Amino acid sequence: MSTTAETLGINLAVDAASGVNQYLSFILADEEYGVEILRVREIRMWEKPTKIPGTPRYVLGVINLRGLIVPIVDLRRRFRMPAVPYDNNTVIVILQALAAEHERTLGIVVDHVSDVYKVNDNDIRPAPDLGINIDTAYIRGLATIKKSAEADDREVGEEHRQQGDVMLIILDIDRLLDVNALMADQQGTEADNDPAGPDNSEKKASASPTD
Amino acid sequence: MSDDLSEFVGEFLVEAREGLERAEQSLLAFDPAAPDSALIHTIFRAVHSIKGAAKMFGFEELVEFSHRVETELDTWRSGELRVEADTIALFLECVDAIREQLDAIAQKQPIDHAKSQELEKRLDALSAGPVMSADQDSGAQPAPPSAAQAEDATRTLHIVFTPDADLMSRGHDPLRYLDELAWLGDLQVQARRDTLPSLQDLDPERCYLSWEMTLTGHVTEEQVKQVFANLDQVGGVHIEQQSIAPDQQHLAGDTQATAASAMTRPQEVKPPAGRHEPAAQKGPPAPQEQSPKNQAASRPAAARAAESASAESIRVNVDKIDTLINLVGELVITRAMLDQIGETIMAQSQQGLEPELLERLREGLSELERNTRDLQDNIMRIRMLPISMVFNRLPRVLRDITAQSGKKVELEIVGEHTEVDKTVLEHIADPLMHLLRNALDHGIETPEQRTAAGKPATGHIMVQAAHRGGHFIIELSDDGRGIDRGKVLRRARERGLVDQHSDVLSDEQMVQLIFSPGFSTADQVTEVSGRGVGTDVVQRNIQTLGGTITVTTKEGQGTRFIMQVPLTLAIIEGQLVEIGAERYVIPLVSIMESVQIKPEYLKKLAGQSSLYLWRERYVPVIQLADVFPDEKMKRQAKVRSTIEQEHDLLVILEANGEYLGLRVDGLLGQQQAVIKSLERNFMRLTGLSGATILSDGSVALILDVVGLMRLSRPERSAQGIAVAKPKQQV
Repeated sequence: MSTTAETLGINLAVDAASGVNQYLSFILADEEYGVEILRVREIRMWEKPTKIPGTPRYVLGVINLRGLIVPIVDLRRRFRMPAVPYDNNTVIVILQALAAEHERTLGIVVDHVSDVYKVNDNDIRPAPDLGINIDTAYIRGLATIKKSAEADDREVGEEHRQQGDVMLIILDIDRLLDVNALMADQQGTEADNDPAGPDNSEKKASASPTD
Repeated sequence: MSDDLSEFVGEFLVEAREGLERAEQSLLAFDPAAPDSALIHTIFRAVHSIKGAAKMFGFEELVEFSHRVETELDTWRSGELRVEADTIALFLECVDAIREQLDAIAQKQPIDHAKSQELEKRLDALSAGPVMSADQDSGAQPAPPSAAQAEDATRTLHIVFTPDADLMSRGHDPLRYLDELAWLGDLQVQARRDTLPSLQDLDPERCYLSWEMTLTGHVTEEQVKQVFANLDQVGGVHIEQQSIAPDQQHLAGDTQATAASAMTRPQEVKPPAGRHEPAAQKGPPAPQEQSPKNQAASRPAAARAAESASAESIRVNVDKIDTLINLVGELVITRAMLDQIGETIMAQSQQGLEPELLERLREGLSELERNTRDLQDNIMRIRMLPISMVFNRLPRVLRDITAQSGKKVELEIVGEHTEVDKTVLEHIADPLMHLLRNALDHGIETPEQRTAAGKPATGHIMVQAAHRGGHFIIELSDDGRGIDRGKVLRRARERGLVDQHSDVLSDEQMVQLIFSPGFSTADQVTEVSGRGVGTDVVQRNIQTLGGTITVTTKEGQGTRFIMQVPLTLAIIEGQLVEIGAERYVIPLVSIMESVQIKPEYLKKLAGQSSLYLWRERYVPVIQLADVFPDEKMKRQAKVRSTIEQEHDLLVILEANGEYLGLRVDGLLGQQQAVIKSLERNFMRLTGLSGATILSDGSVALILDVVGLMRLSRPERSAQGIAVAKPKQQV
């Protein structure tokens, strides 16, 4: 069911001095996002959370993570992307987010996990304000990943950029999963009144998403 | 301080604070008109053991100061010092000063000498007064006369300890004194058995032994005397100084010819253990073992002291217990899970499994259930502490306040041994203090007013603790003037807290008002301002505990506050209900009744909110979607509105004397729910007190009834109805 970073065979011992970090990437609406792999606690198959009344709709609810009550955020809804039904590829990435007081464990729902990349901090470019759905505050930066067959070590560098490269959107987990911001941001409750959650039970009532 | 001691400092602090508390209580209980020597001893003992422990840890300032206090207490104990009310006040200040020093030690901050020096001067003045020889110089060396000149020299003392035969039946353990002596220096002990009767004559509850000891080290007679200080009338002790000045031997009157032993100078002051007639009591023959033990009792005495103490109680970090409680919580869930699987297996595989095997499975499961429950109960009990830990602080508050206001108040405490969870205890202390201050400030009148009102001049406050059906109840009642409803109402109107037109105030409403944050202490029912804690802390703390507070008051006759909180916070008895697609747990204590809705009893109010006639009262009816107006809930509400209302169930909830009907789709059974925090990974949400894990591993949220009522309130008030329905809903 669940897979930890270790069992994926990832070498977590990245030389800190070199400024190279590893990122777990996942796909959301054909875009590739990355989170620092050291923040990933585990990856779980999709399971239906228990709803929490009074929370924005992108907060799907809570699940039982071996006795721990863990809130789950649907990233598609959070970024106001069109909803898709959850399927076998849908996973919950359990992350450790740092808040001022303490560390919180939260899960995000993504379309599917993709890959693990090494990215040098120097190669992360600030995200331009593109007027896209995602508030750039949640984006730490963009990195270009060279996806040619010979680049086994997945070194990243601008000079290698070529067709087939992917743009990795690196997320700022702490901001993204700041619970106060999650609750304060009422877009999810007010503006987005898409009645069709991807919950299978409610799929038939689906209307076209507003965003 | 050596490193290996530093880890015990925390324990020292805890013990010292406990000792101070005992001393404080005894000081407060002491009545100069009717001196009770037992109280003086308690005070003395507490200060004495703080001094002793402080010495071990090398807290010199504390040693010095407590020694000074102890010296004064000693003169009091011996009857040389006449103690008046102001002396007690001074001793209380000393207790405070020691407490401050302990705080400073805890925070690793330098100790403030000014205060202790000032107090030392005042103590000096005391002893300089009526009796004592008062040769202490009030300078930097506040040591007592006998100790001052002799502190440094190494000497050998010869001590003969001849306890009374009934020493043990009076609750003393002779070995403790030997152990304590061993701390002072190098101790050689010889037990004298010549008075030991033959086995058939021996009464195991009596002490037939006496001890001869030589103690070498930096000790003074004074110190040795203090070791035996607690033993006032139960034993003879004689101390002699040997090596340095052998000619100084005091030759106390020999009362008995026991001088047959090798050391020939034992002196008994008291009649020794002779042939008393055998005592009537029969008991375990434990003391018999003492003689062989005593012979070996020279060096490892201290080690054995630690051992015997640990047999009674140990100090454990609360975190460890909490971890244990969490684990048991997991165990409870796992057990429920197994239980369910077991039942499924038993129901399904009639033919598949052998009946014998099934029977064993059933037995195993029920055994597991019993054991889990026992384990859980017992672990929960570890966290339970007697409420006296809070109650003990009340007399001091009373004393301080009445000293200022000149009111006469008698405090009656009932049920101080009632045990309650540590967290509950911590949260209940502030509200209780606040209520007591409130009663003293606002409730109890001055003696003149009371006499004028035909009441006894001395007011009466009763604090009572009890267990009642899974709940812990603290009641605080006074016979003061009561709460002036008119005043509260006026105030509430001014602040817009109640409807301008309402002129009756129920007790429940009054509680809400009195403890609402806006209704601050400053200008409350009477003029005297509260101090420190705001009134809202009462309500807030009680609610945090999932408890309730109620008040009844009669003008001119008094007020009674009743706080009711669950015994423990970690596990609740819950009713599992189904609302929409989700399951929720409602604390069983909040449920008055679950009823099937009869349409004729359901009344619409202004076409929007509804009321249900239940037991001759109209109870507001809500759906969860009403109080949590968000997308997810609205969707559920839509589905629900199509369901025939007759088939709905209504759970009547009660909190703080208020009622609320919650519509549910199904009642699923009662179960123990281990409360898990939502806050840890998410946040605190009004109306939810946490989450729990059901036997199938899924999560159910626990409804907080008080919170639900708060959420539902704006809708029910006159102006709130307009916002009852979320605007987006079609």
